[in-house]
Amino acid sequence: MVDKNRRRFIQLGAAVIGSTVLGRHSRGSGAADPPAVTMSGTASLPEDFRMPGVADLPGPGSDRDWPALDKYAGVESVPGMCQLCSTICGIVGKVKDGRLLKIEGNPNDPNSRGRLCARGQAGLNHQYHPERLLYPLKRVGARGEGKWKRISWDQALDEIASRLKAIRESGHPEEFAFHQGRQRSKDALKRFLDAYGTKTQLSHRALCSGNRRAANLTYLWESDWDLNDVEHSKYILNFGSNAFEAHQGHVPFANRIQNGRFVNGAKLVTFDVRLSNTAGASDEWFAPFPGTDGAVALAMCYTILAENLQDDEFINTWTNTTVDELREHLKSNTPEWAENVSGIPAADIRRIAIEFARAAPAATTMCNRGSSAHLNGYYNDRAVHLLNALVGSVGKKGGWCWSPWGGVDPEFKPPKGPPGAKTWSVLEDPPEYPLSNVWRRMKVGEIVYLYLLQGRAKLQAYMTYNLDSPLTWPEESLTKQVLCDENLIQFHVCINPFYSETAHYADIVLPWTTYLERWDLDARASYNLKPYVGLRTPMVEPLGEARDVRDFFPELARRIGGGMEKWYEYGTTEEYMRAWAEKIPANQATGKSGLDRLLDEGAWENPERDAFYEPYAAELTAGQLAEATVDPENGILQKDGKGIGLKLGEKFVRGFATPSRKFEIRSLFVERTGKNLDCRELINRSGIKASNRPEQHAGHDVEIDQMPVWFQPVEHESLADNELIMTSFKWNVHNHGRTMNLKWLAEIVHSNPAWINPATAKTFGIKDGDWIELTGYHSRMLEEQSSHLTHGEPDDSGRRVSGIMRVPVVLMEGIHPRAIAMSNSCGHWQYTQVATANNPQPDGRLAGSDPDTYRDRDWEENMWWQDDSNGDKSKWERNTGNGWNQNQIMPIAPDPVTGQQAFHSTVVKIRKI
Amino acid sequence: MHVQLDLTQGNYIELSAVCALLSRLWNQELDVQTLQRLEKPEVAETWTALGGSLPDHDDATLELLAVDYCQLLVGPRGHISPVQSIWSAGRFAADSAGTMQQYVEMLKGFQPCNKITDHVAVQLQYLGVVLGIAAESKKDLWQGLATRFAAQHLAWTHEFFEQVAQRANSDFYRGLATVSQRFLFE
Ligand code: SF4
Repeated sequence: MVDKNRRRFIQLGAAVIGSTVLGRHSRGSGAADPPAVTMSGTASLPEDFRMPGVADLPGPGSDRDWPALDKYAGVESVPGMCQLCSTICGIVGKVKDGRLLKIEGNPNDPNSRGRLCARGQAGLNHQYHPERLLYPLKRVGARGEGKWKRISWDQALDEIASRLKAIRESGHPEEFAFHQGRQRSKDALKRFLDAYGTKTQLSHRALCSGNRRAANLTYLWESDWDLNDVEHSKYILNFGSNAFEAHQGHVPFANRIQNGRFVNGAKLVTFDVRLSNTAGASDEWFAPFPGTDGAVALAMCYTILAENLQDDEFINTWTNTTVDELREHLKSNTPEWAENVSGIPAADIRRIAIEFARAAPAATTMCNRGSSAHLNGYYNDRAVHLLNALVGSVGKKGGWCWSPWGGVDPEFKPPKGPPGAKTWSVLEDPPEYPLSNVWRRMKVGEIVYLYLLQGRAKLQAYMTYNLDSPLTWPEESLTKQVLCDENLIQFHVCINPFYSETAHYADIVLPWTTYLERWDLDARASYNLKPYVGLRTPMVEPLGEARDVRDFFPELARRIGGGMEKWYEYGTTEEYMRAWAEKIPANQATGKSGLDRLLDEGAWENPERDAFYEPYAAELTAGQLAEATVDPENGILQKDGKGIGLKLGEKFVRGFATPSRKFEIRSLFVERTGKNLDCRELINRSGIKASNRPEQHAGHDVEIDQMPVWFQPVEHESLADNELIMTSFKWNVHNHGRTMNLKWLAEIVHSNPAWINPATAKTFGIKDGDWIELTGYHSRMLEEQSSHLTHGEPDDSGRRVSGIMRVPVVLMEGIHPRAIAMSNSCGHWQYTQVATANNPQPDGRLAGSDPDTYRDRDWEENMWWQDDSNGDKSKWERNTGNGWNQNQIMPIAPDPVTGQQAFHSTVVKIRKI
Repeated sequence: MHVQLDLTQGNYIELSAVCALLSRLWNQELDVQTLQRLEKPEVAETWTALGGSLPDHDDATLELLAVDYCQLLVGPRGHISPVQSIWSAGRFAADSAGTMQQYVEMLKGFQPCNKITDHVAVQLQYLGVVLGIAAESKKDLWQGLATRFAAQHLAWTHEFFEQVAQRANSDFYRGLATVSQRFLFE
């Protein structure tokens, strides 16, 4: 038999040669041209060669060797920037023989200072994940059916270009929408979309930070990002931020909080409905009723004024109100009033307010989604920020600071790009949300699919980029329905490194590089209160045919033509980066400057810049004052019709970049903008780039209070006995939609039973591990105020249901009795076997592990969380499975002022099953 | 499972050609040109006798085969990876990628047909090239290299071929797995 086979193969080989089955042989492609290939002179045969492993640490019970001691001998250190969350910590990749062995923090990064979190370490799982997308794919079945074929990049780009070209030539470029999740190549995306001519660039900002940003902008105008100077604080008052686990400033911020506490002796007090790891590590933790942070903050303001602990000088000089006005305004916000709505004892509110004021000016608040992702979130955050103005810690060392630099040091400009696109789309700029785009473009991402369903916009082409909206957007079923509908989204291109829930509904999927394989110049608002420049570099070659947008957008632009191509004449990506980084001065020790210096060091912060403390008090120079005029009524200095400063007595100072040049506790602008009134004069006085609301917003008025106030959403005023308020949270090992596929992290957290307080559970007769049915409801407040959102069927009680789901519960003392919490990140139904907790082999083996040569013990023995219950809840075992997507029941709920999704305000009905 | 292909008995040119053919078929979807050549009577006869199958010669069939190739070898989900690293370590760029790189560097002028060097197509390509050289000079040296290489970089394919044969929707890819299995392991 063996001989017969061999003879046949020899015949086959002969026939192949005779018939030139392989066609024209290229060098090395077969037997036809062996002379071209020779053994290299120095070659030695690989025998016991052992490549140092990235995940070679043995699992429990493993009999494998530990990694070789010389694992890192001869490695090259390549700088980069993490992108497994928005904090973009500086990293250093240890690369050997073209392979990344380890990721460490980059101590040169001025913001992250060499620290990394668990996610950052797990970047190796991301890079070498067995299910990475390696080739462009084209859908062959119905959309959402999951049937694909591989296509070449040439074919993919041709097909995309022909679609985009036709849309552009139809005169409706705005019907091509680009929808990004987390993105750090702003310049590259902007260049492409501006060159194309569409402004329909959608984002997830409203699902994240819209209210906090709008509250900051209301006071400051020049920055949407408060940077609490916690490292130098004596008192840190945290309203609902889980900075130790998940925050835009995560590791750099957490590091500075701990320095503030343990080096500088700061006290950390946290208000959060849930005992997060930040709350647990605080000196004191209080669990207010959900969404009442603003009430507590206003009551603290009341106390500070009542105790006469306010900073008179700051309020009277630097804000546009007076102490008396504030006393009058806050007169009903007593601690007893706040206790009544929040449940926090009035005595504690008083005590903490007094402690806070006494620690000032080295005292700061901090807040994030805990306070802002509410139907009243904009007002919560305005109230929280107000505390800093009252105690005069605004802009002070150890106080509540900010910087106007949210990205790369503005001294550095990328090669010139096209002028901004001028189109308008209701998807990008919905007129119902007056503060969503007035200063910065925060957009209202969560309404996109609903508006498409309502026929308010049309999309001929939709390009998604690092976006997992079916998982992370509210109303999972609506998102899926719209993504699946070829009438609503005619053509969908998905750019992602993994096959995600979004890719599942695409027509073409393009394999994207990881952040370890591509270029960016990047930075974020730094807690050093100075701008900097960081570098993301390709540490290793892209795997398979993965490509970055910087690499294929130029090609796409050339295929679309019509002038787009001329914006891509800058040469290679490296040359583009070189031009951008050109002005970085030489390091005296190494002699390297520009990009070469960044390639060496990874990041650069200008040592000559001062930290952005008390910028408002800076005196203007003679040059700045030349030809400036003073308005005698308010002391505002103007030049060329723009505000530049303030006359204070005999001094000319910069002031705040607001219309009053003061910290705007009272904002005429927000009130007028809400009503679509002309704000040109106010805008000019601020000197900041802002605009009147566009004509398309006419007729959409929203009442916005001039002053920080607080109200309770109507549905929270009288919860029924079987109702709780749903909140969500992130763990310290995950981001929202992109890390559950990483084995090291999924091993730590992979499931998300709902947290319920034991006292609450008792009233429902629920024990630990029981299952409950959750019914989510649309907001009553929004039904009254935002009727354009109304959809869904009412139930027997007349309320509109947003979804029903069943989950098990864990009883936790660490949650408010009227709240129920589920972490996000869980419940994937695509996005790799790890994320779905699905080990495909019946005997527990990953497809591919050869039992004779190797068994992936880690996988076999440690993927203990696979759920084998097959949907039978009685067989479900605690801590198995991949969890549940909370967005099955979360309604679309934009704050009527800013459009921020109120993820933490949803009323849910509980039923034991 | 050890590779059974006996590399001590000569016929290197023919074996090399078989390697090159299999490499081509694992590396890319079947196209019209390759199918036309496979259909030549002398090739078709032995191909089918070894368990291979030839599909109909029309666009619809080639499209179905491309879909089958994708679900089997590319994904995006639940595919059978054609890459040794995934089988040995559950991730890309494991030890086998390192040793493959060393083998590749050893042969001046060798151009892998796939960027992922421990892809089965590159490994078959490599064996083919080494056998091709062995036919021309220093037989013992090259044959020794081929034997060692096959043991190190083709043993893993036994289970891979088996799984492909089980899960292929098309006779063509089931047949390709069968022929490959026979070539290396019978
Ligand atoms: S905080 Fe963690 S995940 Fe986020 S950028 Fe830093 S290391 Fe990466």
